[in-house]
Amino acid sequence: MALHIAKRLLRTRATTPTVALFSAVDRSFSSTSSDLIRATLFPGDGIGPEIAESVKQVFNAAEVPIEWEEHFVGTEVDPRTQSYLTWESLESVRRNKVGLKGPMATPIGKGHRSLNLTLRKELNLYANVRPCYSLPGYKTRYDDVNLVTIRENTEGEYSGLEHQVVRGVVESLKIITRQASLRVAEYAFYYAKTHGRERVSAVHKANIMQKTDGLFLKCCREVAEKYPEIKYEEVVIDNCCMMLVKNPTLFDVLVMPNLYGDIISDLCAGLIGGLGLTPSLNIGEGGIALAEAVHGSAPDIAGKNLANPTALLLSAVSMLHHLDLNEKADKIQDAVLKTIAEGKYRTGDLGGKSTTSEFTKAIIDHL
Amino acid sequence: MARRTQSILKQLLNRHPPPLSTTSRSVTYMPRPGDGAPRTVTLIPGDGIGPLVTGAVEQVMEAMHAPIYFEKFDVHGDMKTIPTEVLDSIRRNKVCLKGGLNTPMGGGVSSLNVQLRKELDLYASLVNCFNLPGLVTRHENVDIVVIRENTEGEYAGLEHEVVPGVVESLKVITKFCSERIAKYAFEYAYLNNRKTVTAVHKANIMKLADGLFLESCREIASKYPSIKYNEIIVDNCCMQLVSKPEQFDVMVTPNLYGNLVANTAAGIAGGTGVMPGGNVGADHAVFEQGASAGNVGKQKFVERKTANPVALLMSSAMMLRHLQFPSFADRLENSVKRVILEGKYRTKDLGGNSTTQEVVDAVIGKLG
Repeated sequence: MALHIAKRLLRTRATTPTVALFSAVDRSFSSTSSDLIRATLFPGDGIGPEIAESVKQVFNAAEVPIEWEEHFVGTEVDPRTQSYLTWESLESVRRNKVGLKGPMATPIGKGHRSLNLTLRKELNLYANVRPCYSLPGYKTRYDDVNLVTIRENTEGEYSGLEHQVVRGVVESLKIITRQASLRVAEYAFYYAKTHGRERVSAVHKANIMQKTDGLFLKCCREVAEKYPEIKYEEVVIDNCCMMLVKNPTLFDVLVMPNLYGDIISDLCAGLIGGLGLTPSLNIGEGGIALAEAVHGSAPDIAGKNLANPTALLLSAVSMLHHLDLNEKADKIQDAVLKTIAEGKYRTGDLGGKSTTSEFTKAIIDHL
Repeated sequence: MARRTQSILKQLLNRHPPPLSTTSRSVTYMPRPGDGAPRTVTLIPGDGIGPLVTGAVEQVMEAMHAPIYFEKFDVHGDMKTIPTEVLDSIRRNKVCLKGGLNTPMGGGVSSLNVQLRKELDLYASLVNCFNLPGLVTRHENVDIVVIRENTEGEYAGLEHEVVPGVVESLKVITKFCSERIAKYAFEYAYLNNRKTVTAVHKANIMKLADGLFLESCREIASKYPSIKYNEIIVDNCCMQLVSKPEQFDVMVTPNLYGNLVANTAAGIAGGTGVMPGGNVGADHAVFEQGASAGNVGKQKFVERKTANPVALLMSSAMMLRHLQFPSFADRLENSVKRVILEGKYRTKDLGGNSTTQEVVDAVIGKLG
């Protein structure tokens, strides 16, 4: 018995530091097959609860070993977090290290932080990963998109540090640090390696912003040397935009600072059909992963069973990939893609007439 | 029976769009006596494919006997500054045609393109992205003009290292510059019969900086009540550009977003090889390829001489209009459009395999 534990200890210690840093499975000393992984679920507002329900049903049918811990956005500002998210919700994510978030509508008003900002700052979510691939069966003008955008999420142009110098002159600071750039570059290469991607492209504008984007590129190059099997290239942002709209197959994994990442990841979402179909995963310090649906809460169709759960489902799939539950992830992804490709059950935004529950049932049937 | 003929007629008409009118009477421009005197234009071939495409323009101008006389200057991207004689020449001639200057990556030398714009205060950069008839792209009905602030914003070039490992870059937005670019955008829309001006921004995050830009745009918009004005956030804008580009008309943006939006718009309408553009200020104008996405230095285009001259040819047509030679401009533009429509002579980026010279010869051949 002691030998057993000793063997397992040695095995977990033998994993490379980067894997231990990012993997969420490396937690307990008990066997993972019978253990249920606890994950936090934020259903969110508007259509959130319906699509979260859809995800729960699909996961149940696929027998994914996940136990959901649901948390809701509070109705009053929690002084400990200065927002409508309670301290308990954040603690839950920190404890479980894995979560799924539906769309949240930040209430208008002062005296509290935006919900997304709260999550990002408190959980130190530094990388936003969006796998963009064309959905077979849902025709857009681009059929062969298969790329991943990894965006640095904490600094850059969105540091929020602005001030008025004199009347009519405003300055905004763009900050690039070595630490943050290294962090996101490490994650980008780690992601490329674990998901079998061949190339990582760093997107920049270092010919004009020589020091800031130059530092970002230097960090990317350092990390690239540690992964010689992955090809590394650098692309100027305007060139990148142009190539993306002409030929998206040229790119594989894109890693970029905050502003460029925002624009490029939304551009790629547009290529595959919009935010309603795009999965997204936020990675935080200590191996925290929070998958989220980036579309809005669509209050006009809330509660009417018309919402499209695809984005949340695909985000949950990327969460499963992060947890190393790869066959379950692939099973669910194939079911979703097959359902959409078939075309019989599609929700309104994809041009069909099915309800959320019919769509969910069709996916479960395809499992 | 009548119903069937109607649909058959529709089919026939749609399959063969009416050709560009060559035989019908053209518009008559009445010049002032003496307007035909040759004008001097500064020519900067530049690096990489620059000399190739400016050579193309020179050939076509000669073939047309256009009243343009070029003053050529040798400037390369790795020079520290633009030589003063070049700047003097541009100040004298007021108009310049530029190939492309390759900015070396990463170190020390600030971009000569940016320097030129700052020295001459060329505060508006204009790129016209439109579908060329005959060139099949994924998007149709694209006709977007991106007007981009050219002097400040993120490209102010003010960077410094705070402590080792932490670098700061200043993005400066001033009311003065935002106002004049907004004025130019609305004036352009008014003079060219454009219906909508869209301001592109990220004011939900950069509240003060882009907020100031938006304020200036709104003020100017109130002075042009017949032109519709709306605002769009830059990430949504890029998403809409790839899905529904027909909704955009004239777009006015600060520096960095303008660069991205212009390149995206150019990409969806056919690529940077065909989009005309230029930089204009109160006193001078520099015409160049609309959105150059780093192809200037691409060696293989230089070696195989397959750079696309269409963009610079269309820009030189814009330049001819700017110099008030509208007939020559029309002839040049129609000729280029006819060559593209025919489809026999196209460079690699448009899906063909002609060389630059072959395209130029075709254009010269089709000059009316």
